[in-house]
Order: sequence, then structure tokens, then C-alpha cells
Amino acid sequence: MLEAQPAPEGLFLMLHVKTRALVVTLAFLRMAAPAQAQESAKPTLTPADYIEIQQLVARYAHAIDTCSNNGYDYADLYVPDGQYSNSRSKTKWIGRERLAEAAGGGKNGCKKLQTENARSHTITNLVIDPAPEGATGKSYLVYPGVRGQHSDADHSGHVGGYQDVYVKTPAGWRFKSRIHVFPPDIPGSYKPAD
Amino acid sequence: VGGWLECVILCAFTVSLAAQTPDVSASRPFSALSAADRVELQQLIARYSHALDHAPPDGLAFAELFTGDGTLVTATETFTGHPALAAYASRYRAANGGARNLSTNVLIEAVPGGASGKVYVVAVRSDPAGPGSIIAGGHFEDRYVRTAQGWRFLRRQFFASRLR
Repeated sequence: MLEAQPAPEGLFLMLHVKTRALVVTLAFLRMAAPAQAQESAKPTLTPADYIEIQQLVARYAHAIDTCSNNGYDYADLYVPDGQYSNSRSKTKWIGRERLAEAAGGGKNGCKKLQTENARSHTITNLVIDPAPEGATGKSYLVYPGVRGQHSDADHSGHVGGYQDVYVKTPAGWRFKSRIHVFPPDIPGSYKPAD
Repeated sequence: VGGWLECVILCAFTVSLAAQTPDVSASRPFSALSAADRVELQQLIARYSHALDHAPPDGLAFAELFTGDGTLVTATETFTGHPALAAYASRYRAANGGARNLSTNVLIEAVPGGASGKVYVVAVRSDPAGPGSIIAGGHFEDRYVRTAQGWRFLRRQFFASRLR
């Protein structure tokens, strides 16, 4: 025959008075800890987030230099309304088709692979910071070329770096925006005109 | 009933509280650098170049990547402590404006009390009148320690590439 089980408050009343006090104190501490955590809540990134963003940035170089999948591999590194721009132009490449064109593909058909010097986007010193929308990043960019010469002086050797915003999508981390910041402007502190 | 019930409840609370206690990696065996430790050290190494090449000319952002008694050994000089490190960064930028230090091949290992690292570095400069050029190269040998503010350089020594 089953015995009636005491209600939770009945269990509590069965405890010694000192034990009750201790339980109440511990319960208070347990409730207070998340509250303190919320007060100091800042965006954070896990090690997996950092590694996935590092991989995203590495894929960027491979995708743009090979113009793979007619530039759409490059475009798909961005969110659908993502944009690429640079600090020396007012042009913005927004959306999948325009981004594929920015990589030399899309309607451009990757002709750059036959007509232009290979740029070998060499990206280093990637610093990633958590941000409310996801994360931001800044990095250096070099076009090594041949003994530092790629094309004109503005596009040879050290050519500044990138200033990025990343967001986490169901498909993984993606660029929300990327700006190629040419010297003397500084990646991470460049302020676009608009 | 009260005895075992108290024990069960207290044990449950104790486990619950322990589960939300922050991880104290400083007390870990030296062989166990976590993924987070390695990522933070990568970030510290990347920040070094940005702070040396781009940060405000007072050099403080650069110095703060080191512990208060941290040391940088260049090819010719040694700088210890934040004031000396800040002065070095300020002077470097004035003398090498436009140079960019690229860090690659980052190797990090756990050692007693922190971590050690070896990092390749290539310094490049773009000449407005001509192609970019490599102005220096070599590697760093580093010691890192974890502080209340995160991982910092305890010591960084540069070894320049040499022709034989």
C-alpha cells in the first residue's frame, strides 16, 4: 500500500531549524549568483566561435583568390544582405550577386584569373572581439606579389587590412560587412563616410 | 527521516553551487591549456602587432599587453616595465612609421606557471614610390602568464633572421 508523500513544504518543516536557515541561505546565494552575472553581462564568444571566425576569414582568402564556384563561394561567406566596401571607394557590393562580382565571378565570369596578377590575400594578426550583434574583427592584409610587387604601389606589399562585422547564423558565422581599409587609415578604427 | 533528508538536500545544494563556480585555470596542472587559453593567447599575439603599429603614440596600449614587470628583448636592447615598454613602442612607431609586423606560425605550449610560445614575424613596409618591401624578419620566443586581466606577456624576445 502506498503511503501519502509529504508535500515539499512539509519536507522543509521536518528539517532542524539550523538546517532550515542554511538551506534558505544557500537558496538565496543560488538565486543571487545569476543576478550578479546578469549585471555584468557582456557579449562573449566561445573558443569554438573564435575558431569558426578564424576559419571564415581564412576561407575568404581562398575563395576570392581562386574565384571558386564563379565567385559564389565568396558571396556565401556573407549574410544575404552582407556588404563589402573599401576605404578608397564609395562603391559598396551588397547582396549575393554583387558580392560574387566583387570576387571576380558572377557576370564577370572569373576572367580575372586569366587577366590579372594573382593577389594572394595574405591575412594575419586577426583580432576578434565580441560585440552585441555578434563579433567584430580587424586584421592585416598583404599582397606579396613578386618581391613585394603586385601591381601599382597602392596594391603591392602591405595594403592595410580589414575591418569586419560578423554575425552567427544557423549556417554558421558569416560576414555582415567587410571593409578593406587602406593606409593611412587604420583597421578597427576606420569610420566610413556614411 | 530528518538526518538523511538534510544530507540529501545539503548535498544537492552543494553540487548545484559547485556547478556554477567559475573555472580557476591558474590551479590547473601546467599540461592543461584549455582551448580558451590558446585562443586568448592567439589574440594577445595578434594584438601585439596592432598595438605596436597602430595604437596611439603614447605606447600605453602596447605596454599593457605585458605584465607590470614584463620584459621585451629586441635585437639590441631590453625594456622592462610599463613605462619603458610604452617608450619603446612610441619610439618604434616614430622611427618605423608605416611598418607592419605580421605574425604567423604561432606555436603555444604549456609550461609551469603559464605558457611559452614561438612566433614568426615579418615586418613589411609599403614604399609610396615603389613596391612593398620586407624590412625585418625573425621570430619571437615568449613567456605568457595569466593575470586577473587575462593572459599577458611576461617576456618576449626577438631573434632576427641572419644570413650565414
